[in-house]
Amino acid sequence: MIKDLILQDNTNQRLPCVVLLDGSTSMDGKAIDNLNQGLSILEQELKADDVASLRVQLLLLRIGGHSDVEILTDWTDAIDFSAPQVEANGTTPLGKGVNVALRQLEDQKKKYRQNQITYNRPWLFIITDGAPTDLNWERAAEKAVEAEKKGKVVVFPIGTEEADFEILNKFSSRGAIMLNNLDFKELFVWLSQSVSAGSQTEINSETQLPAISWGAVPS
Amino acid sequence: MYKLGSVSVAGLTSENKPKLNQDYAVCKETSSGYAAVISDGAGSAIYGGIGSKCVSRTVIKALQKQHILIDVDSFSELIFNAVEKSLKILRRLSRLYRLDAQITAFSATLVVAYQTGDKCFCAHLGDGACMFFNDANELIKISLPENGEYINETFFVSNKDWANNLRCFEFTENKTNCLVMSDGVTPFALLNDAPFLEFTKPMLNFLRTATLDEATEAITTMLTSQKATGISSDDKSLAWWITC
Repeated sequence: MIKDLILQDNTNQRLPCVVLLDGSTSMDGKAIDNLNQGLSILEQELKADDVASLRVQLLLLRIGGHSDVEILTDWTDAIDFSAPQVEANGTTPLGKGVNVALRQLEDQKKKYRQNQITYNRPWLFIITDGAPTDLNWERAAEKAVEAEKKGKVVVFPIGTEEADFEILNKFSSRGAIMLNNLDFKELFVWLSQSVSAGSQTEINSETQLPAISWGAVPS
Repeated sequence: MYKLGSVSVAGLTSENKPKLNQDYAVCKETSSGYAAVISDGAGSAIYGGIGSKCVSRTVIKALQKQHILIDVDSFSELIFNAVEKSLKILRRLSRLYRLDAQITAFSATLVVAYQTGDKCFCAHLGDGACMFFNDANELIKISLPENGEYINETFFVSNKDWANNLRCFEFTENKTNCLVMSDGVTPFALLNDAPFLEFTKPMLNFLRTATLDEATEAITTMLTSQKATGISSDDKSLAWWITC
């Protein structure tokens, strides 16, 4: 026993994580209800995780309305995260949303560097039930893949069973995953466990993600 | 009169089982002083543990053979030659045992602290930290971790240009107390790029009064405690010298 010795987690490490949510009209009904329930679960799960609650930082973006990208939750530590209510109306400007997400991630990394905060490679989750309605989505998809190749971000495109996976696959070199039965609850439990693992990744290691129980690679 | 010691414990897997310890820590008397070395084998490198052991032992042997007082240039040359020698050994080992492994399979970081007469030296590649204190537990010098853009990236002896990232310094002080640590310990030993005093002060006070056995036991218990493993699941190593 070493008298008076205090062990305190002094790391100021962060895992920046953007969740880009589809709030278009087609999500109305069961999909949006399940999504909102899923977000509440994400809040609970992250807050219950001692390490992730302090290291994971979230930015929630919604695409919808008149080709809008709305910041639902600005950058916040997971411990302070409060699940927003997502509304379903309007179009699916996915390309615009991805552009905003990539820009936000770069700005946030710049802030970390200015404040001498160490960070993990950022993650971007794209969750949609359809296909982009904006014109420049292909350029945005290229930018996302390019950013992945340069090690700037890890992109996880996730679509419901109705989503256009041929298009979604273009947003990441790892390909998209199909969410089964609108099971947003399981998706957000997995997302919480994944970011928790990601926030504790050791030197020169890849993050080992939990197995996916909520979906599959689309055929 | 001085006290030397080192402890290295394995981290935990995601299933809370002990990993294979890839750190190596050693603190030894040399012909004209004492030296502490810690090397951390990369988790993703299959033979990182062999790499860290080989590099540490080669460096400490080189320092043990050193007889004359040296300046920082000759100190960094000595470290450079020792690391290059260890890389040759590892390549030979890979061929001999048909491991079919590139040198990156032995990736490891390096932190070296060396006191000889009234000179102190530090050589540092990658993460981990090295701190020198006076008798009042006040910091004299510190060498901080160096990572890449992301916190899970750092520099290893196996990198092609490793010597470009080797940081060396010297200072004059004939009585120092030194703590050298791997990146499993820095999360609770550092705060805002400075020693976390609520950790370092009690630790130094304890090391002054404890025997080597007592120190080894207490530090092992502390590093394997639930609190410590909750902060970092990585392997954890601490090496020290205390001048009494």
